Amino acid sequence: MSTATVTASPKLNAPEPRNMWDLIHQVRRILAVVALVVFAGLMIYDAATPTAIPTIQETRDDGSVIASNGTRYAADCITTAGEINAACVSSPVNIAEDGSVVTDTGDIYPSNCAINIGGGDRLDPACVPAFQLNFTWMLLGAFVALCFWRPSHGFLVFYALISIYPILRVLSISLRPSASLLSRSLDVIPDGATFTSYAELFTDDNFLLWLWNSLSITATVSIIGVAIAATSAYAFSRWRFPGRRPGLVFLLTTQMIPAGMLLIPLYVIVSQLNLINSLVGLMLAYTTTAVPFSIWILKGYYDTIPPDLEEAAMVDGCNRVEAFWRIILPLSTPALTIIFLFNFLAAWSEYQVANVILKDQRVYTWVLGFNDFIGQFQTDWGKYAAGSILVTVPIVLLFMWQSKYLISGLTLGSVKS
Amino acid sequence: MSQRVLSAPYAQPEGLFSGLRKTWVMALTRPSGVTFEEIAHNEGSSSRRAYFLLFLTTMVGTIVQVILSTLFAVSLPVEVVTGDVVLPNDLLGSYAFVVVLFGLLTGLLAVFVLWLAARIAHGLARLVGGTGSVVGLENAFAAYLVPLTAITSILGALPAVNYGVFPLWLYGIVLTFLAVAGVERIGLVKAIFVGSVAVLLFVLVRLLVSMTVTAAFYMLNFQFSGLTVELMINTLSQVIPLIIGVTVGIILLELGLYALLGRVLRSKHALPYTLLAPAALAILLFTVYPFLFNILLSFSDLRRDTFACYSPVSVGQCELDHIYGLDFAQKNFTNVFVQQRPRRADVEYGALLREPYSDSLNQRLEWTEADGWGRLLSTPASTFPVLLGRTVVWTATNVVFHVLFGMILALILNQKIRFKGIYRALIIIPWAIPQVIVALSWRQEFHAQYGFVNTILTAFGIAGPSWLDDPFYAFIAVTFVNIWLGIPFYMVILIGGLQSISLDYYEAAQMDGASRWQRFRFITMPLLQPILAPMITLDVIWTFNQFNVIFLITGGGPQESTNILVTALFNAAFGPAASLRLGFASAFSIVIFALLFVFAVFWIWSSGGLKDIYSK
Repeated sequence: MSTATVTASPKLNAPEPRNMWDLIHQVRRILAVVALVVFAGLMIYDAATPTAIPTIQETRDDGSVIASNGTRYAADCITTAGEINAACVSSPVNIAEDGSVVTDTGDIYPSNCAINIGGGDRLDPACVPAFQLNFTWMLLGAFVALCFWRPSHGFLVFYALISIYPILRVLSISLRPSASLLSRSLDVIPDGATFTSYAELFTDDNFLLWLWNSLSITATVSIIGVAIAATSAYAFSRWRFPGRRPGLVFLLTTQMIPAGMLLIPLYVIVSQLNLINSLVGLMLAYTTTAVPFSIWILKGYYDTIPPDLEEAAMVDGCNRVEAFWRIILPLSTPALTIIFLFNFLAAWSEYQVANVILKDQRVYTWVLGFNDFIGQFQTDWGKYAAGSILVTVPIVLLFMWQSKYLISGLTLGSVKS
Repeated sequence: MSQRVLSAPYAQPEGLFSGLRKTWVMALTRPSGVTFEEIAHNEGSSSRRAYFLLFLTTMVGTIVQVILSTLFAVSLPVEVVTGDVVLPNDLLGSYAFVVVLFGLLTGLLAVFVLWLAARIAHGLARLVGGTGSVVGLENAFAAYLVPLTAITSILGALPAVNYGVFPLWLYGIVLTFLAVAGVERIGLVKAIFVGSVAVLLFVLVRLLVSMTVTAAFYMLNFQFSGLTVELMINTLSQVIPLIIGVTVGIILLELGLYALLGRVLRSKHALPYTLLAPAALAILLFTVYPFLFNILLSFSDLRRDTFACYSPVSVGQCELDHIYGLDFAQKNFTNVFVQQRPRRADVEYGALLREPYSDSLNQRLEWTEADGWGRLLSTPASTFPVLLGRTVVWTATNVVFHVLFGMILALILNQKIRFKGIYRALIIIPWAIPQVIVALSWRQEFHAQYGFVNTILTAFGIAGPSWLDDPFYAFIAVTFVNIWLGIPFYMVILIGGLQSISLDYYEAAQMDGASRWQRFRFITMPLLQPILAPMITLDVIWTFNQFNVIFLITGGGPQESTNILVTALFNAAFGPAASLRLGFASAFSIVIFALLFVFAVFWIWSSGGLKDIYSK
């Protein structure tokens, strides 16, 4: 179709200038090496430069001073030499239960490193090694070098980092000891990593109960959803009957209904039937939400299976239903997997409907439970993060394991062979 | 003898229970070889009766034992009511379920052991010259096992006298030897040798039964991380009937419909209609019916105060003289767009600004005069045009960036590049993670002081804003998260699309001297069109309806400034500021749906977006 357009379009380009490309490749390599060297230099420079201590601009009556950076320092920050104590320039620290000192960037120092100065606990500068290499510079340098050397890899690495870093952060927070839960550290594995949050999640909260509730809802919804969608999509794919086109368009229309719109009547019906806190109402609502999309994907997939296969089976003595059961369904495993996964994921992490229908702690799904962790009355980031990891990791693994199916199932549905 | 009994066990109906008492009393009080021989050859005896009675006694015994031990030990925490919320299922029901389940298990176990013991004992007895039958042994064993089980079950669960079961069971062992000796007509010494296997089995089963009782007792009191057996069974008792009900329902529906369409109406489309029926019914019941009901609700004055009026069971006073009406609809739909000013001057207008959803005010006022755009939520900024504008900006920004980055990534990953699989796996991770977790985690990462966004910005010397406290930055934040979330999906779809384009096109174009851009513009784009158009349509719909990201990150705030239409709808209906003004909210939802519908029809019509999908 488009080949005609291409041949008709004006032909402008001369053969590609090979030499220029070679030159560019050489320049890129040189730039990559330069970047590495520059960042190594920066790392050493950064390590060798001591923290700048601001000078005193103005002394107040109470002995406190206003420094050159505009910050005010308390009277005990002034050393005998008339300078500002380096400890005051750093941020206040937390003292953990065992007495160790936790800085705001999550580093842990022994208990004798704390000094009370400037109106709070601070880190004794003597505890910090004078010459400390910060290898983040080298990582940054390696990334810049990669961007020069192989720009597409540079972009992909950058994007992959953006994709996974927020998740690694959740892992990091789940491993933090309680004293450094709130810290500005960027480490994936924090200093003093511990599994306390995980243990607390199981002992202090109804985590298993939430998981059980979610799992029973989700499994039911996925099974029923797949069963309903599989047969209906087959009908849409193989027969031409009155009402087929309107039916398909109608399925798309249902996708446009905002969840909140059906939630209002659902809430009224459920509360009138006294079904608040009932899992059954929720399951039925979930199933129906996922069915139209499932039919859509499955129908596209069935379309790619030649009807000859069933006809051959029917010649061999199968009836239509047997042919569907023995030939089509096994061939559609990828698409059925996708549907199952979609149904599963949709119900697994649904918030809006569950939030309105489930009010009792004992029928909470994990979504509602987690939301309570960081709700109005408590902020339990450690437990929240630990729970998130436990809930997410199996799903991500499932996703990875099925991703081949996932991609083929989704695209075969939309690409015509 | 035994053959005759087996072939006609119910020849005399009264025979099942006749002479039982005599048998039991005889077996327990006058134990001797002769007694057991008599029992074995008794006219009324049959192995089915033996098994049945043993099963029944053991089951009932276990149930009684669990209940009694519960009563005499720790009282179960059967606390059905929590505050004003009542659990739908009776927890006592699930308690009964556990008890009956364990009863059944132990009953079956006892029957199995009787069957096994009789056969083993008979086999061994024949080796030492026994002349009895298996059926005889079964009957003889059952004759004392049944009454003994009944007595010990009750005795064992009572607090002070429970040690009485041990002498009773010792007596049972002696009876076993006597029974073997009597039925098989062998000496007592030989019988002890033969019967010890049976005794071992019986002791084993008693141990298992009492362990099961203990296990049942502990399971009922088991609690770990909030999960109790009661609650598990409570859930299962909802799930299992649902699955069975749906399955049976679907089968009945399909069979009935197929018979009706195929046999009665002789339709040639009987099969496809039958296959469609379950989905059609489900969508009818749970999408179409609520949808229509929602329209009806927009003709109502449903609020928290009038909830009783709309309940089928009258639960309270209803002050409305009619519950559905055009006047309500007019009020509801007008409220979506127009701010109404109270006509009566005695109500201070300022009270409305402070408390726009106050029911008492609503009742006292007559709303007539229009006064600018209506507030859908409490702040003056949450009017319809503002929300609509924000929704359009939100949707457009998201979809554009989704397509843009999805395309860039797909084009890069479709090349011959190393580590392709690893990159793809890492990049699709955000898609695999539950949206709730994504949203809640990002909410934390946008924290002004401790979130990594600001930490990184600070490292580059930029003072990051307090993201979620500032209307503008909060909107940027939620938009960013939704873009981040949507890119993997596009990438996956587009990689699939790109792979389906034959390389021949590119080779031909390259020979004709087409540049990279020209190849992209004139080959890739047109061939991706059939995938891209429906994807964009769906993405527009999904983004327009995206609730989780905004609601869980900002809740619509600060100052209701990040609400899009759907989150405003939820906040208006169920949010903290609203008093369940569901009549108004349903009118609002209909307006939203109408907007999206008109847009989608226009879009599909103008782009031919779904023609390729639906024309086939």
